[in-house]
Amino acid sequence: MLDNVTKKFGATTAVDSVSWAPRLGRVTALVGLNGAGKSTLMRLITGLVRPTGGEVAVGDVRGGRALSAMIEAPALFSGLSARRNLRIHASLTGADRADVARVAELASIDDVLDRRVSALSQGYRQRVAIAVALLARPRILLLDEPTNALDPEAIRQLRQLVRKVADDGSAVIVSSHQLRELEGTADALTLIHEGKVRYDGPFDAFVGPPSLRVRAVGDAANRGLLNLLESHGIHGELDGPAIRIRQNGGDGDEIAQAVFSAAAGAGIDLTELSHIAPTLEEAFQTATSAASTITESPVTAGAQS
Amino acid sequence: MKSYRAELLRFVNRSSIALLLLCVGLILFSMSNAGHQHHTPLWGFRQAAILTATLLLGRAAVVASGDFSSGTIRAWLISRPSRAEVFSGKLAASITFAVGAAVLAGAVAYALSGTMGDVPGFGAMAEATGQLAFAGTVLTFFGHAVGVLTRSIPVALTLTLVWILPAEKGLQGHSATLDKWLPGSVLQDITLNRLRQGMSPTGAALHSALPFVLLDVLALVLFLRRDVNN
Repeated sequence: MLDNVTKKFGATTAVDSVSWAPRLGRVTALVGLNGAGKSTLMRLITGLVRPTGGEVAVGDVRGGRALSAMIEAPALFSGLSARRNLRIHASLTGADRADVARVAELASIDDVLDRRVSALSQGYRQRVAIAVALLARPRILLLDEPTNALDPEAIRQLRQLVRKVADDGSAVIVSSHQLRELEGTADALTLIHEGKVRYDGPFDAFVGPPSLRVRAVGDAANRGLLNLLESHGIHGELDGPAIRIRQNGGDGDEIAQAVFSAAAGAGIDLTELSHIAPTLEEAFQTATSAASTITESPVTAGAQS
Repeated sequence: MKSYRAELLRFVNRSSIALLLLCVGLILFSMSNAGHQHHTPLWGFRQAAILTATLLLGRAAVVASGDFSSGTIRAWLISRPSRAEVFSGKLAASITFAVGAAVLAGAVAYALSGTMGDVPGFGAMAEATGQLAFAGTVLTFFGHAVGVLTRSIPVALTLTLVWILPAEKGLQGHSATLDKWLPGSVLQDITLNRLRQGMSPTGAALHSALPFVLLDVLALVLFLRRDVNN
């Protein structure tokens, strides 16, 4: 979809030689620091901004019912009712009244349909905007910060909704600063840093495997334990005052048992032996702090699976 | 066509109704006062026509620029693959509104003129209404172009109103050639049915409409190229 696309604003390069395609049937998390180029990438896909170089091949997917987006704050006619807003957008996209009813139910806004948008809470405005984006039954759905102002229940509903849209075969791209909201929803991830795609692949592979955290009494004991574990074929690394052992597909409980047995056999007292679930935040911080030194982006092809 | 239909749907709101009532009220007020000045209601209609068209100018400028400042233009651009269709659909809808306002004002004025003095002939009333519709259409071109070019409600309103009210007045009277190309002034002549010497109705229509139509062509060219970052 994006072929070697560059976008410059004056002297600033917002997107730098990016080749990227959304994955049909998947929810892709689009993450990056402020100013990394996420919004510009979305605007390029939607045609709101023109590339300085490269090509955005949108001919077969833009227009009609192919592409829909909610970018930044909900852009609604505040003096009109939610229903009127939906009807206007339905008219624009060729959707019908049944579609209006469908998205109203999906976004749980049935009870506020006849209220003016200006009288709605920020959370409900967000829901109306999401309903508008869903009207066209898009093949590609772009959502920029969709969880802004939503309460926990609405976020849960949105996750289900996004999942359903993807399961129906559409590509859903969700950009969010709320990294925790993306965990459990996204199954692919694209990391943008300084205008370049630094990672584009499965979500789990980016986050990494779960790990064990082991801690003996004292740094010297930790180093001794680390050597002992190596001799038992368990590979770990010092991580602050503890040892971190990545599971890499192994059974966590079996590894924990092996660590415990090895330590007990050597007479090393453990003060901690716990399972650590990887978080997107950790992986994100690691990736963005390391990314400035990456010269070749480890991009995997955005397969249209 | 979808862009045009969606834009028309958007116009069905309280603000539009209030503006229509204001246009009609202004016309009726002017007609009712014509008698005190020993003129006919039709004369009053013509006096208020250019001001009514100026209201439609302001509306077109606000609608076009407001789309950018509120971000609602994004929905149109994302949904419709052709920016030219978006531009023309929105312009056509604003023109429809202007013509509709003129026809409504003319119809109400004709229906109530008997209560204010002499009832004008149907042909004369239709001519005055048509001239109001023309003025409203031409000024809608102007407002739409400035709105799209500036993307800011205060700037668009200021530029359009300053041009139509003081700027053209300041430029008038320096050169006969320049006077012919002051669109607001020529439009006023048209709505008053008092064309200056040597100017035909077709010439007046051309001189008043051409500058603003060209401005819209420029706005379209830039609209096709410019990024939308709002």
